This record gives sequence, structure tokens and C-alpha cells, in this order.
Amino acid sequence: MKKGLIKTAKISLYTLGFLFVAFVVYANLEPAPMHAFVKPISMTIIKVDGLSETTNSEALQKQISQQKGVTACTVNPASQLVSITFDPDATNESSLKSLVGTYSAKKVEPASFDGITASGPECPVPLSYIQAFERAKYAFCFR
Amino acid sequence: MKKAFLSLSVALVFIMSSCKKEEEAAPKSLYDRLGGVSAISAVVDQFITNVAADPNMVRTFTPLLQEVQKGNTARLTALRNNLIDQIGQASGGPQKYTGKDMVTAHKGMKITDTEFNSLVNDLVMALNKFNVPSTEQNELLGVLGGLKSQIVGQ
Repeated sequence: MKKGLIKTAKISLYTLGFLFVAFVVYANLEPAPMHAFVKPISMTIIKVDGLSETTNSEALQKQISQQKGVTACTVNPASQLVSITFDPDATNESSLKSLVGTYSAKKVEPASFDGITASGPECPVPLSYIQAFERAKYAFCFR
Repeated sequence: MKKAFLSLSVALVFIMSSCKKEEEAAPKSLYDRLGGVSAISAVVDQFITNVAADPNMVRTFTPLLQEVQKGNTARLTALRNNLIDQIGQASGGPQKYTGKDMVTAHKGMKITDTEFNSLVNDLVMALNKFNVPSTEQNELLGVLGGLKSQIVGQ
């Protein structure tokens, strides 16, 4: 009984070791792409009622762009939308939303895109799984 | 012997210096002129925010926008990574685009001319924000514009 367990443990250990070495070899077949060295971002889209074409749009855009962690910002009076990409380690959605709120006395809320039918190719495997696998691959890429 | 060694050294120095001159004279790639990966990622981020706030692009980017508003950034990350790699490769950088080909990626989306033109306009606005000179803009738009037939009407 004990011998059998030890044998199973040994085989499992060798298999895992082999799979790990194979994964490291696979990860190093080619160098990591350049996007692997760019910091990941997050995005928020805020609907601002009464966003006019006047200078307050430009002032708001400038103010948000200067915030620490913001990588890009667009204020579009035509759609009444403010979209911001940011480094989630440096700032967060709620502080950006409250900053936008200081520029508008009217309603400021997350934009909703529900109810719009979209069409296009869909991957059967969730993208987050593929990206987690890629991150693990780049972590073991030493080239 | 000494003479032979001396003339060999002189010849080597001459060859090496002439190679250096040739290297110096080589024109910089569009990728280098744009400013490398950090500049391209900054332009791509600006391009993405332009698209997200563009009323003409809502239909096309709905799945991405819906997921972003729910806190799921997987599609956003995929789009950003693909754009960085695609622009980097198209401009002569070390990036290698590994995403789907343009026809497969846009199959069933039925993108119109208006939507494609809005997309190009969003990219131009992003390039203008970072003061990319018109020569570099035209070069980049020329490369990407060639993909129009593979994107529109699929």
C-alpha cells in the first residue's frame, strides 16, 4: 500500500516536472512580444449630461489628463461621453468619476451600452483564460 | 612581417570605418521616428479613448464597451495589445502581430464606410494630440489604409 503510494507520488512528480520543463521550453521558443512590456490599463466611460462644446470640455480633458495614472482621456460633447484609460495601480474609477463630477452640476453616471445588439466573431474560450496563459508564458520567457 | 601586419591593420580600420559610415547613413524606420513602443502605446491609448467616446463607433465596439463598464478588461487588453503589435510591425518595429487576419477578425460585423472613416479620424486625432508630423502620419495611414477592403463590409 505504502509502496504503491510512493510510486504514484514519484510518477506524479516526474510528470509535473516534465510538463514544467516543457512549458518553460515552449515559453522560450520566441521572444516575448513588445506589448508584454507595456503596463496594462483599465478604462472607464462616463456619461455627462449637458457637456457643451465650450471651453469646459477642453478644461475637463486637460484636468483629467494631468491626473496621476491617466494614460489617455477623450471628452466628446457630441456623445456627452468622457472616456479615460488609466493605470489601475495608480488611480481608480471612483476618483476619476468624482473629478468629472466637479465639472458638471448635472448628472454624471457610468455610460450604459446595454440594449445595443452587436455582431461579430466570438471566441469560445474566454479571453481572460487566454491572457492568463500568456502572462504565465511571458513570466517564464527569459529571452 | 611587420609591414604586412601594419598594412592589414590599416586595411581593417579602413573597412570598419566605411561600414560605420554606411550604418550612419541608413534612414530611420517609421517605428523609430514615431518614438518606439512607449510612444505607440500612448497613441493607441488615446485612439482607444477617442473610439470609446465616438458616437459613430458605438455599434462596432458594443461588446468591448459593455464588458469594460462591467469591469472586465479582457477585450480591451486584447484590442490594445493587437493594436500595439500591428502598428509596431507595420511601422518596421520588432513587434509581431499574432492576432487574427483582418477578414476573420471583422467577419459578420458589417462595418460601413462611415464607421471605417470615423475610425481613421479617431486615429488621426490621436496622432495630432502627440504632434506626430504629417509625413509620419501619412506613412502610417497609408499602411493601415491598405487594410480597408479587408475590414469594410465583411
